[in-house]
Amino acid sequence: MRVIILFTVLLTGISSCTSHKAALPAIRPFAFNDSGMQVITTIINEKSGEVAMLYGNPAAMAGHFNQLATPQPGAQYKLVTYREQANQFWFGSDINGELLRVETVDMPPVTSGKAPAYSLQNYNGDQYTPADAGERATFIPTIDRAWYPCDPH
Amino acid sequence: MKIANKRSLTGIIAGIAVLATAAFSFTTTVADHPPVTGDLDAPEAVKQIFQHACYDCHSNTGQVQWFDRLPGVASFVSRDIREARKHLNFSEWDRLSAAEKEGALWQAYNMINSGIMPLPAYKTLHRNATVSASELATLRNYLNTRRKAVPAVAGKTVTDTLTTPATLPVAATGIRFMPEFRTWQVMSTTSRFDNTTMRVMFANPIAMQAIKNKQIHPWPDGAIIAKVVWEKERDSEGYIHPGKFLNVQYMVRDQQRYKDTGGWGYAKFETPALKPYGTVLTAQTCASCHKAAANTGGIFDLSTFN
Repeated sequence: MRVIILFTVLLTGISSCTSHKAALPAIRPFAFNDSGMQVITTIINEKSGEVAMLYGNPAAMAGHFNQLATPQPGAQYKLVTYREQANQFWFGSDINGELLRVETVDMPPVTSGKAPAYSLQNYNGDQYTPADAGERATFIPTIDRAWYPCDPH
Repeated sequence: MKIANKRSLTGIIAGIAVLATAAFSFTTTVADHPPVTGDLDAPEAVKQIFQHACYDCHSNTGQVQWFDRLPGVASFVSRDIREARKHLNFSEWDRLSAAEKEGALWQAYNMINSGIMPLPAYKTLHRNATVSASELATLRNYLNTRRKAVPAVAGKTVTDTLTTPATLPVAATGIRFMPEFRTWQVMSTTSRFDNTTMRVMFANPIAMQAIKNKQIHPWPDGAIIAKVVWEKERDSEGYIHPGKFLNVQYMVRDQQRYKDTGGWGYAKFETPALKPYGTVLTAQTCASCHKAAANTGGIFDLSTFN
């Protein structure tokens, strides 16, 4: 009888390991909507524990692909910064966590004679403000793009 | 025949069956013991944890219990040991490259931490295989000493050429390279410190909708995740950017077509030439590792409220 009970326990255990269904973890909502913009590059700041994704609209992407010296009029850039956090599912990896800020740069028409427009939206208690918004607006469009295969797509 | 005699005969037959089972159990060879060519090279405290949790199956020196030899059970145990050794054999550690050793250590930790390994059924009957919270901390502390840092480079090293192959390559699993991932939404971005890579994950509209609806147990057919991998490059100010492009990986959900790999099809395209990597068997390895992400339907890189 003991052998039969042991057998039952063993087979139950073996079958249970193949039918494991775990509870769904709390996945972060996607706070940033790219609205069809493409990723230009990713920048990690290990000192501040942040990671930023730089997006561009079609005019901004064209400027990068054609290696234009200055951004095209109508180009829009969004630098989206997240706090980095440990990846819950892989020790050995950090992942983007809560959204901290979105910096937007709009390139005006050449004829307007205006400087690039800079705007900032902070989230989740982020206190960042640029020391010089104009300098920031000049800098963001000059960040090098990452190499993606099959670009432009 | 009298009832007493019948009972006696039944008892004798049962006794013979028990004796035969016991004899079979003590003489059955569940696993052979090839020579140890080179054991795991790690601090003793770390090694002891792997020894009691993993070595029964993942080494040439494992000891099986008497009940592992029972008829019906022995074949399961034997199969598990064969499979385990194929995947990772601590007794043949010397046969792994330096990169493979590193990868195996981090993967072993993550498999244990996720509860996938040791196998739950195995742990039920082999209590000594359980890894305690303090032992997990010991492993983490050890791995933290093996974090990979990225040195600064003087200037940009990435070749800025554009390529579009005339024909899109196809992997052994039948998955073609899909450049349209560039129009999909970003699912997440990760920075690895178990190696020196950084990644951006894109989700196609079906996958993104499934995440938003929290319907990823299981993921719907048609969901696709693309992962782009680069070497990290540190600039003179300390910021890290994507450097040398390494590969693009895809996971394609089709429960029927990819039922042998957990419902996910795997593909990897390496170097700017987008050379398909691996065989159908490679996908089995991918699926095996992705079991550690069972909580999210096999996807590692989803950001959560930690």
